[in-house]
Amino acid sequence: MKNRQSISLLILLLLSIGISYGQEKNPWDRDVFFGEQHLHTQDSPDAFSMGVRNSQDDAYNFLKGKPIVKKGLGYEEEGVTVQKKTPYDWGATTDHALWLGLLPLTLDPDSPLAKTEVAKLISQGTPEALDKAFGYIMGYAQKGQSPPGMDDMSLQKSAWEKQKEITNKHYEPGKFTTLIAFEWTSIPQGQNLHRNVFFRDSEGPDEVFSQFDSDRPEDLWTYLEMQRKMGHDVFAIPHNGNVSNSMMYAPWTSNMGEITPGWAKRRQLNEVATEIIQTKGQSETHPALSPNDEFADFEMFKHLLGTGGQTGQVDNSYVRQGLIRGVGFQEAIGANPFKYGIVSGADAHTAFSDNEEFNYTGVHGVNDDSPARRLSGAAQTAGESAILFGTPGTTAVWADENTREGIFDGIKRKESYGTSGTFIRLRFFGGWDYTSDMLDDEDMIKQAYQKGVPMGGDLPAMSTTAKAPTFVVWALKDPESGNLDRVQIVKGWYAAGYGWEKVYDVAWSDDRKPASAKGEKIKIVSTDGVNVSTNYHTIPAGKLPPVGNTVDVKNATYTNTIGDSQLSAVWTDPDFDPSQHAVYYVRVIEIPTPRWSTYDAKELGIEIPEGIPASIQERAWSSPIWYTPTPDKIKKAVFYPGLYKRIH
Amino acid sequence: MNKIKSILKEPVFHFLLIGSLLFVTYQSFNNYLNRDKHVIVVNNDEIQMLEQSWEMRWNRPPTAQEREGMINGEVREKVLYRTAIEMGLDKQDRVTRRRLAQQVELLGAGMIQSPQPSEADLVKYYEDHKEEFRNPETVTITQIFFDPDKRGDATLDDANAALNSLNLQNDPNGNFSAIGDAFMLPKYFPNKTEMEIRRQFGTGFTKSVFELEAGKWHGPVLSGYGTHLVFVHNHEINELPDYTMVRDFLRDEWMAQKKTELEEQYIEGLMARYVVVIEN
Repeated sequence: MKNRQSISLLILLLLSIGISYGQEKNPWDRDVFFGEQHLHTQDSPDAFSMGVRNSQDDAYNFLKGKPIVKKGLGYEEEGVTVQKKTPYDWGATTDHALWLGLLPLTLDPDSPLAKTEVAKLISQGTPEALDKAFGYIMGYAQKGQSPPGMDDMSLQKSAWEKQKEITNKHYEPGKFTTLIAFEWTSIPQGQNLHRNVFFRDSEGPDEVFSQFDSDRPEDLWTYLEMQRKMGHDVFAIPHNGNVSNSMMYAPWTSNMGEITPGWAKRRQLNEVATEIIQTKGQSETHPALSPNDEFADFEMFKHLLGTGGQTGQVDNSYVRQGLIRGVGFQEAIGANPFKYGIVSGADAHTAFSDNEEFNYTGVHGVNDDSPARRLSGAAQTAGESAILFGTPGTTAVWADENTREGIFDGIKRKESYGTSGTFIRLRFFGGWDYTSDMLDDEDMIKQAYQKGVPMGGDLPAMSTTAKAPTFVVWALKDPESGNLDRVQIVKGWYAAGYGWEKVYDVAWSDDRKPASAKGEKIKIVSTDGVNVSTNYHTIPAGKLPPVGNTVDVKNATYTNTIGDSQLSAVWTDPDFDPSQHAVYYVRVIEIPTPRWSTYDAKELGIEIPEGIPASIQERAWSSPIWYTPTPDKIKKAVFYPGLYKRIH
Repeated sequence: MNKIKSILKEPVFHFLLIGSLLFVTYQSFNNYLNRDKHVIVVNNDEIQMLEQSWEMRWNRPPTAQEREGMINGEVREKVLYRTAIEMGLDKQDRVTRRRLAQQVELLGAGMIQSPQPSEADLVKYYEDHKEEFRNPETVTITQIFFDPDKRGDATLDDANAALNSLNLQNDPNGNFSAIGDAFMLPKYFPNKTEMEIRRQFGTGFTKSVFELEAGKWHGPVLSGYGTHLVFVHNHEINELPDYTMVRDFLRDEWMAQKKTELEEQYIEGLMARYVVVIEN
């Protein structure tokens, strides 16, 4: 009798466990949420100096899809209302930690800054005086000092408290998520080492960490580790490797020391993702690093910031090379310092995350706030003409729910991807037992999760029956943008001490055939709306011909008569060697659509500036999936003392 | 009478009399000397107020230098203010006039309190304003996708054929896995607002779906992706929140509105004290 009772109690207990477990969301029920993780407002001193007067409040309201009036000193478009066509699901403002929120205070006659030298310059109210004010504070910055008045710690603290309050005010769980965040802006000798810092909770840190505290990433990690100890879960996301002058993904530490397993693990823990594109260009790869990748030459931004046109070194500056280096380190020292998920950002300094190509409103205040200013090339930002900046990118996160926990944990899991600004939906899974017929199954996504890992994951140990890993990829176009041209898988691996890369087309539109072994000559007919021109182009062996181009430059239009709305594939690596460490990520390419400058030129009724492409192929990049051989698979242990000297 | 006389003879009285005379003379002389000077006083309470408001604003007490700066600022403001009054700017200047008028408005607003509403007031308020509490329109749909990239010219015919069989099947909750093509978005979308549908399907599709009749299959409906058949399970327009759920909110709204009314009455009362002449 007693026994029976305890058994039924046990059953009840098991049932209740089962029920509570069942309430947790299954990974295959996750949804994708599009948002912004890099945005500046008037609270960033450089933005304020470019005349920007739109606030953090404006920034969040704009992300939510509300109409906002442009406000700026010296704006041609002062008072113009701007609004997103498709609102975002989440967002974070990331103003520079140094002097965050201080310059707007100079306009407040009651603030302690009102009587300072910088306030005197700013109160003159002309763009020239603002420039002078910025020059004045940067003069101090170069000496590692704050101008008089701006060194007031309690003032900095109260400005930061106000930012946190606004971020919390805009958080609507389930509808719109905000994250408490700031930017750590380390830029030794114009070499960009910037990282944004994100918090999971609503309390956030008491104090931000700026380049004045330290310009070494290792010290930022210490700050992050301390924050975690205090109960604030946090991670950092580096950006603009493309202008880091060989620093961002360098195979050495910030003081040129050797990378140890401990250092690699710290970096991996503290930096969960990296930005692949933003307004200052893409950081995926460079044509010099990837000469066989015909899509590498896209939204390039080569010059180092504020150096007067100095070209940065390409090596160690791009994400793809970093990812490949990372698996090399995994092989050499057993730890991967560059195990990054992928996100995109705006880095707009206007409070507007204007990712829509047809709805671009400028990213640097008075330098590019109107079509005329953007196309004239007169004003420069950080030494570059406005025409070379791109529209912001968009970050997509697969998450259980649209909450702080959902978005933060999704990025931390690396189940995120970046786009050049469109709302492409992308699925990517890796495993050993996927079959090509699963694409037709109703519960394909469930199977994909159950038999493998999503983007951002590590392939499980190789099964004894499998010969090579298989990947499931599925992409759906943005209903407001161009169709899809193709889906590619980029593979990087390490062999014989060197890194290697190969780009595979795995799905494409319009029944095209890859060129035969001899290569193929094709005729390309294009039109600018008036004249029709015919060119001949040779497609190298094995390559897929271009999808074509429907862009009518003069009218800034295109048609979705080419390309597909969705593309999918189950792809098995044909060149797999189980002894080699490897990394795989997906790149989805849209058909050509007009670049923002083409829309501006149409509005002004002028030609687009020379050397600027009329159309671009928007795209998405997934977070990678990694393969690490089990010790029995590695043929022999190889020691790479000079790893950092090798390039691929 | 005698008593008065004796007081007049008292030396204490003489002393007081001479003292008061001296005091009056000194005062007049002093006033004469300071005839062009007014006295500005910043008292301890005012200084404390300044310090407190500083601390509230900037989260720390002012430094000695900032404190001095604040006091000097206060003195400066008082001097300028007194000068403005002497110049009669309070009577001539438009900005000052408007500011003073606003002060009276604000004072009035501060004095006036709204009474508590009765239950009947609230019910009436709810009846008058319930439209404002209405939730946004939503639709619940099932959509089946026909991929033009796979089916080409046959897409519309295929969709129409499927529409016929769906109408015959007459089961909107059935299993449709054999119909249409694989599509990344789900088939079933419960209670979605216009914006939620638009984010997934784009502009054109959303517009059509919100115009379709509920309870039947429609199609082909076009989107930025291709062709769809759509069953509208319901089109929810009328979701009014229950009176009890919004009662607290109603009370706040009612009281805010009442207060505005009373403020308006107060100003009308002031207006009634004047005869207004408009010389047009």
